[in-house]
Amino acid sequence: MSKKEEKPFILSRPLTLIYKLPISKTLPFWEGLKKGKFLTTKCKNCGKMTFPPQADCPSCYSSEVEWVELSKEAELLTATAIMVKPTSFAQEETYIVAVAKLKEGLKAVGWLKGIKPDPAELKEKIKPGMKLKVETVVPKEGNPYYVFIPA
Amino acid sequence: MRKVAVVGVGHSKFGRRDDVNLGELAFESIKPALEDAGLAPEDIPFLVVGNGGFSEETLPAVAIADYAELYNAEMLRVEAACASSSAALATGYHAVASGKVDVAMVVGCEKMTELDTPYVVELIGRAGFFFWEFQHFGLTFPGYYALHAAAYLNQYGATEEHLAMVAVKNHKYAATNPYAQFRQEITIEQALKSPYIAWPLKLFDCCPITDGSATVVLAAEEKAKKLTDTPVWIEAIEGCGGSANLSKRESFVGLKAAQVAAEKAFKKAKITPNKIDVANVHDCFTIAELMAMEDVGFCRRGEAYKLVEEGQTYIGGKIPINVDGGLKAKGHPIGATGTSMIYSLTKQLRGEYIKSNQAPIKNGYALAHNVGGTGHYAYVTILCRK
Ligand SMILES: [Zn+2]
Repeated sequence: MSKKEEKPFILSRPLTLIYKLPISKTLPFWEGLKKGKFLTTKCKNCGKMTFPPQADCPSCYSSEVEWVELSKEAELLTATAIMVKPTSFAQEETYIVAVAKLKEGLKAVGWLKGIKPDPAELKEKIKPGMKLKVETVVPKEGNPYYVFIPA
Repeated sequence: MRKVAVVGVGHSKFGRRDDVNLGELAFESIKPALEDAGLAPEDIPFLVVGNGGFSEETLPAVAIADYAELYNAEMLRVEAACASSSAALATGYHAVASGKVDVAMVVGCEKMTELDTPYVVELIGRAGFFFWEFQHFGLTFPGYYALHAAAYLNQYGATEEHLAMVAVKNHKYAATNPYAQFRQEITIEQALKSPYIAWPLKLFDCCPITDGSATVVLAAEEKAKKLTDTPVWIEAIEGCGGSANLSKRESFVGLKAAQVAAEKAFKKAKITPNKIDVANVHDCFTIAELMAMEDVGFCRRGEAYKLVEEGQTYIGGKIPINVDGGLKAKGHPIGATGTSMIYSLTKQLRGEYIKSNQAPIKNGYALAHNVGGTGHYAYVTILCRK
């Protein structure tokens, strides 16, 4: 395919947007990651657990929730490897994003480490039911997060 | 509620339209839609713009209405991601059906190529569940559908070759559609050899980044019959929302929101899926076309790839799908995709579509399935020429 010549244009005034994302209501989750803990919320009224954690129960609408520790045991549901990355992830190596089912029955989205993101290896290894564990990561710069690794 | 008909449609050329701005691009479909309906700008009392918000205009309806001087209209802009103009169509439909107005115009318009591709990848990637999926894990739009593709291929034994077959069909029909972004046919081998974008999806599994507009004019029954001899009736337009966060999803082999929307639409139209003569489904990725066929009810779960393998989705098959090229090859200007589907299907039902792309119309029904995000929104519209 030949690339057509660009038509005349004027560059817009540049705009850089950086949002402040409130975490007051999920602070225990982020603090927990720093201590190697994988926490979420459980409704004191109806017992529903949610992931990601949220301060208000989406089931009974109670705002009385408590923080509970998750087991870090999970199994793979599905995964992809991001070869074409967004601008703000341009510096990252190709990463695998997985959806996993936690032992507690909740599902979570996160990076899957420990598998080479090349198509042949992915085709062989990305199978539902693969046993995973959750690891917490505290980078030198930036926010703590969690990853899945093969158990 | 009153009966509502499509009485006018217009479509711009889709593609990298760096020769026009948002208003100029919208005008390319507004003008022919008004001509088709036999109406003037001042005859439009209600204007709904479907737009996903990718251009520099933060108030796109204002920019569009101003360029075309649609000053008599009450107006608003509607957002439902890639289903924005189906949501806009539903809004226009309700305004007419309720008796509020006799005529409404629905403009779908999107300018995406003003930003460089990596920024568009970033913006669309953010349009999922930003905080828990994008901020930390950098999911992209192809990535969201790739998660569904991996699940589908694993569960049903479909292969990447089946995905390629969808792309080959849609390119074939885009090649003869003068409005389409890609006008060349491709082969299975070409598709399979293309680079991975988000495993297991490759370049030829993905729709392009597109600029485009499509406009639909609606009228109430009495008015419609005065305006045209070929009204195309909206038998049903039904929508449903779905979970934003993938962690709240029951399954990854279909989109719940689309299933619910389709069920409601068929119930309202009082027909079954086998009455549909031709369909446009939301094939932003090849896997999405397979899931859509099953979500709508054209076949049982896990069987869409077999229909594709048999060629049943070509013209002459059991259910011709995306024979205008689909999002895959006609292009996917986010906010214009829903009205573009209605354009194609209206022409199909009138029997006046591009000859090589005209499906046989037996029962007089057509279906549009338009998804926003990865099933975060879904709309199913059933049209009828009778
Ligand atoms: Zn509760």
